[in-house]
Amino acid sequence: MDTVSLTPEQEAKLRESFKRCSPETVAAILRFRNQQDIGAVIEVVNGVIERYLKLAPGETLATKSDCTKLGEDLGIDSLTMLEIVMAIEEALDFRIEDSEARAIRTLGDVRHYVDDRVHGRPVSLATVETYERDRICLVLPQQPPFLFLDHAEIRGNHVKGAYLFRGDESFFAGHFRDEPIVPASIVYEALGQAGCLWVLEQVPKRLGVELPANHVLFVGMDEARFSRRARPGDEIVLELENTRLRAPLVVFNGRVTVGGQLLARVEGLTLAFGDLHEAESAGRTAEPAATLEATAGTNGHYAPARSTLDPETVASF
Amino acid sequence: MKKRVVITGLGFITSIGNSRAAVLDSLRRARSGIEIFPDLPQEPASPRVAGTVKGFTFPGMAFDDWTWPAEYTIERNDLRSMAPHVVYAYCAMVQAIAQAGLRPEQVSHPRTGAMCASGGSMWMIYEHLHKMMREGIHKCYPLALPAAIPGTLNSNLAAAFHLKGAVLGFASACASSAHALGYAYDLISQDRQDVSFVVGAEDCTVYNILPFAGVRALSVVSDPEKTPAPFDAKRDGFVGTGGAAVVVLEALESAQARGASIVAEVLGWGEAADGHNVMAPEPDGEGLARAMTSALEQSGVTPGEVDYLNAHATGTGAGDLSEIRAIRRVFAGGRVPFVSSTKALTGHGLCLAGAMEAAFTALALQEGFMPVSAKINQLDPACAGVPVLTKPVDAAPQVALSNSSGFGGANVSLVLRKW
Repeated sequence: MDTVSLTPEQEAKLRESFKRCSPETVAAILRFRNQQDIGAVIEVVNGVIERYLKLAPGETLATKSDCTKLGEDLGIDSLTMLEIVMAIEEALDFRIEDSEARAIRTLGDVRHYVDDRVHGRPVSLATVETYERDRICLVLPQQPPFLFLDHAEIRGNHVKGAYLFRGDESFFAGHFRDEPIVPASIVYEALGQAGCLWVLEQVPKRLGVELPANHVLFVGMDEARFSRRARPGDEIVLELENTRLRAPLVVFNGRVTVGGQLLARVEGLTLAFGDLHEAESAGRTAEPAATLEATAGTNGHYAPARSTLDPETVASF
Repeated sequence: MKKRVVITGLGFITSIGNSRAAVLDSLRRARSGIEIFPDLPQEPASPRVAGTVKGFTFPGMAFDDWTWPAEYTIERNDLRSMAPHVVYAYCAMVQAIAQAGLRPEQVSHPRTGAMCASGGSMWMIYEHLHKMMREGIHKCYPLALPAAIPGTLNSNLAAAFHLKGAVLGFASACASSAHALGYAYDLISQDRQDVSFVVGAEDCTVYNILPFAGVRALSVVSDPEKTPAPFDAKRDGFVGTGGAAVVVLEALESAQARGASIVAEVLGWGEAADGHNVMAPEPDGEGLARAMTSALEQSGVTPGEVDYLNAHATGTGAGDLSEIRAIRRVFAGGRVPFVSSTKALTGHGLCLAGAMEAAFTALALQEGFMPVSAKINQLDPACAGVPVLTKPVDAAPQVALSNSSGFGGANVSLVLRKW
């Protein structure tokens, strides 16, 4: 990154190049280049991209979520993307490699990428893969009415999903009488399903193995805490981060929120993958793919539980 | 059985007008489109005028700064791969499509294509390559190639108008768009296409015009009312111009089935190469004479039936005389048609010339007049025996030829008939 202020000629050239951006964007570019104001880069990026979009009056990228897709949502085609890449290169004075540019799919990708670059961090660019319910049904062994993911996205080691409790799920009839409350076990089941999606989509790519959908099993959780109740009409947002992947085990930490409020969190959510029939036939049972009803509590606190399948034993398969 | 081919639409962005009506008025009144061109070095003994294109500005490479007449809408996604002459051609296409009455699904149809001709954009090539070589490959504009190369015209029009038929480009220098019209005629007469847009276009910049000063081919007369002067005894070279012309060729039965109004009929065409020199025309005009004779034979027209000839004559000493000799040769012993060079009004449009002058010729046939050969103070005595139209003649031509010649001695002659 430049640590020297721009010459008048360089500044004039930048002003000319970005004359179709807002004055605020040009000011942000100059703040970044002259004062090394790292805080200006997101404004630069938003402003540069906005110049290539047909936005409604008052519409701005700053309020758009990281999940906003450059192609489908903003209508940016590959050639416009190249223009944007070259403009950002010129504005921020660094080179964006083609392989990096190709991996940029969302506003979040752009923002994370630029943030990594200006902070001198290694670029952790990962593409976001998004899943609607139809596609989730094709990947997961869980199916309606026992599928608690409406949509999900996988970015690197992260998986994020959401499920809206419609109110017509059968368990509300008995949980509880005259007061429908989402069972805690279902919330952890949903988390497990999000983890299962990550395993089925990422493990084959990362480890180069084939993984049939029914070859993922729930192993256990180290810590689980439930903070509030969810009711029909609530949409739970499930977030998991993979912290360890070594065949045949995958470990996640995660949390569940409703409307930004913490509902539950979990540490050490562990799934096993691979052909586990041998283990089961030897009498060591594992729950099929993250179903938790046997060990989950009903409401409020969730008792920390250990799987009957010892991870050390599994590791020796 | 050859299909008959007619013209059902014309489009003009030229130095003498940006619409059919304006062009017709300029041709009738012999109003010149030449003016001082400030981009040229304004020095003594240097070319200073050009057939400028009015209503468009291209202040720099940043296409977002380009302007064109307000009646045309060009989306940024289309514009970003265009050169100036493609912008001209886009506007001329819009006019031609409107006049021909072609609906979008008839334009974007497997039986509709475009035969195009431009020299590419020397300006774009220069600037993009200069930037790439100076600043590095990753600073090269992504669309530098489609915006610059010969072929930029057909590539861009194909994309912008969603053309689905035969779309290609011709590169026989100043005969290019005449060749394009000839091959469009063949495609339709052989029933391979129903509609073909014949498009000639050129930038109007120092980059594509001034290099002709290298061979001293450009006029250095600074009075726009006096130059260029094809067939004049004191002609001193040609004057450059840019713009775009579109001629919509269509199978007669397709045009009649649509109820389209017909501008003129294309009877046929001929071509021949000099086999002589890369730049200089064969002095006796033997190649051009063969092209004209072939065109007349292909069209089933005798030399005596030709009323008007729109000459290639650019205003150079050698070129004009070579053509005069070719005309004498073809029409020897019979009636020689009236001859004029409309380049006196427009300037020489290079790859644009053939289509532009075929369009002028079609207009002349439709409207029943013959454009004069302007700016002749004293007719070159070497033109003796050829009736050069120094003054208007009150006669409506029925059959007309339009000649074009290019580098390498490429000659094309097109035969049109009043409809």
